[in-house]
Amino acid sequence: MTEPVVEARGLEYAYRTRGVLRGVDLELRSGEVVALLGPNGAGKTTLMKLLVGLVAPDAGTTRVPAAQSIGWVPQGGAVYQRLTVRENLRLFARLLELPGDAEEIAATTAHAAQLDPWLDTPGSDLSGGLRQRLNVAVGLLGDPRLLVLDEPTTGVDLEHRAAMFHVLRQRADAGCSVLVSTHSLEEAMSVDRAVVLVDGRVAYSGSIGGIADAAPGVALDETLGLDDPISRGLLRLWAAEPQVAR
Amino acid sequence: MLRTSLLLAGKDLRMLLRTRGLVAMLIIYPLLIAGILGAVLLKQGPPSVAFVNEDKSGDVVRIGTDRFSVSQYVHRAEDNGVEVVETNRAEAERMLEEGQVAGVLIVPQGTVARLQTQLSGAKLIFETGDSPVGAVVAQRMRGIIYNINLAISDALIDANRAYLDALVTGGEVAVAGEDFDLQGLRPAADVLDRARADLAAAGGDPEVIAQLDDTIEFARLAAQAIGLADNALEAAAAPVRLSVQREQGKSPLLTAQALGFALALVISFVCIVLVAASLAGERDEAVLGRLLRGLASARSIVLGKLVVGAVLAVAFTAGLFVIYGILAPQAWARLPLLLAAVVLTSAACSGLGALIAVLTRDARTATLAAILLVLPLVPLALVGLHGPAAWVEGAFPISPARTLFNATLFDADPWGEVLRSGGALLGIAVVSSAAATRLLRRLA
Repeated sequence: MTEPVVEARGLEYAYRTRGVLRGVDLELRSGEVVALLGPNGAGKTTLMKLLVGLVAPDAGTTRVPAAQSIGWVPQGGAVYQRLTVRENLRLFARLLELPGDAEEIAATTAHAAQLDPWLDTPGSDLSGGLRQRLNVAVGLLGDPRLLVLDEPTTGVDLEHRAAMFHVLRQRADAGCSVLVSTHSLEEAMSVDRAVVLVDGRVAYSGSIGGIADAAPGVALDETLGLDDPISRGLLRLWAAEPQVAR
Repeated sequence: MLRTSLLLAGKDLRMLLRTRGLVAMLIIYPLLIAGILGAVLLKQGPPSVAFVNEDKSGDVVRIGTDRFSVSQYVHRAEDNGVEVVETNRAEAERMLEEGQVAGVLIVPQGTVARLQTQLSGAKLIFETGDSPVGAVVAQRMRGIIYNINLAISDALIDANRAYLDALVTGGEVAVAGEDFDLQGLRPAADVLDRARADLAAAGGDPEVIAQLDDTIEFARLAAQAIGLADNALEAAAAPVRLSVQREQGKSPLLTAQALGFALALVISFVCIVLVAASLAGERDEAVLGRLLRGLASARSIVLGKLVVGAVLAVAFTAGLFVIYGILAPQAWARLPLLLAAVVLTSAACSGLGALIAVLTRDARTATLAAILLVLPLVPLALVGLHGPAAWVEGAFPISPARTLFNATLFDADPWGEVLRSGGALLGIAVVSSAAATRLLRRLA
């Protein structure tokens, strides 16, 4: 068993009076791809922001790698719209103070993300999916020890989703620890472990298949017509937690 | 940190240059503002001075045969581009308080009498307001007073020369307002010469005749010596005199005023609005969170915005200054000081823009808030406020920036004003940038 890259204990966070995280414990190990699942407003983004150091917890402790060793892919295609793909990659490579020629790093990264044809296209002219791929490419710059991706596949086509998860697996195999939030069970099927966050608490942590057996006693609204056991397990987990102003 | 700030500033400028419409607006806007202000200020006519004559001892000074009127000399200021409004003291001070006049020139009681006796000098009082025009008008009034002194000096020289002539050749002179009839040294020597001849012919006492010879000799030598002193008197009274020839052309004062205000306005507007919009825009694009997560500190992000503001401000100033420099070539000597003032003003405005961004959060609100803040401050800075309203106005950069630019461009001795208004701008820059830095993570 490898040493944990991330250790979070009893994390609590509130936006004004509204509690978002209510004592979250989380461990991420080197070489592990972990999917963070949960309903809207469960606290997934807040937990990720806490882990990358963007916000400080109200209570609890975190142990994470140094900021420069964390790759962060926020929601919303966080790249400069008026800079081209090349300029975005070059700028972030320089800000990261990566060794080597920033121009070369930009070209290599764009190639790996299959963005070569759009190298000189401004971010504003990219489709949502292409911009998201650029967003992920920026997050992957510099071989980080920890990769935190907040819904990175939003708007990305099927082929590139698969390619993206393939890259994440490659990074994990190289020793990186990956935490990725998603609403797609299909994507979650390829990860090593799933953590289900409901109302600011970890409701489940384990294999993705194990979700099917979670919270067996909780009754579901059968009118939804879900018959996939993992989806049914997830919904039972959501329903089992006390509902706090979701 | 500086490397990161420069990288971010370079990125901002690159993005700015890429938006052609904005670049065109940024070029046209300052020229338009400068043109409008210049036209308005040049049409405003000359600055005014209130003239209060409190002297009940008269207005005309009579020195020797010369007569001149103090008020007439004061009105000569109108030939030098200053309008003179004659009024009483209370009204003059009200006009100064309300900014209707740039200064008040007071002739105190007894001035003419003191000048008339030629026994002591007289003192005029010039009060100025805190408007930048006041300093320039005071300078012009010093020129008027110099001309009065010169006229009095000429009159005194003429009068003294007349005394000396009367002492040598005899005649009527006026001293302290009274007329005297003098015999004169030469006529006295002639009289004595004739008396000596008569005495010698009558076989007078040789000892008395010898004493008369000495006295006649003294009178003639004294007459010669006084004749020499006559020219020396004029040379000693005014060793060097300036001959002023008025030339046609635009007033550097007014063009400097226009430039000073245009710079304050354009830099304030551009730096506050652009920095606010740019920083809040980074939040909208979700890039700010990425930057703050270890790529750039909040301080280096804010510093980057200050660098962008400074580059834009210097670029605008260069454009406006070239036009001004053609009208007033002497201004080129002030260029280094002006650049320092521009950078300081841009820092205060950019810091305020950054603070608006972190308080308003999104780009549209930030832009609107920045414009709403700047718009009312512009006319207020032009009018000039007093009391608590002036303190509030001074907490924002436009008014101190206008004062700083006016002092920098045309104050003969600008350092006091530069330190005061520069200190205010530095304070605004430090406080707003520090607050923006502290609150920036709220945007992430």
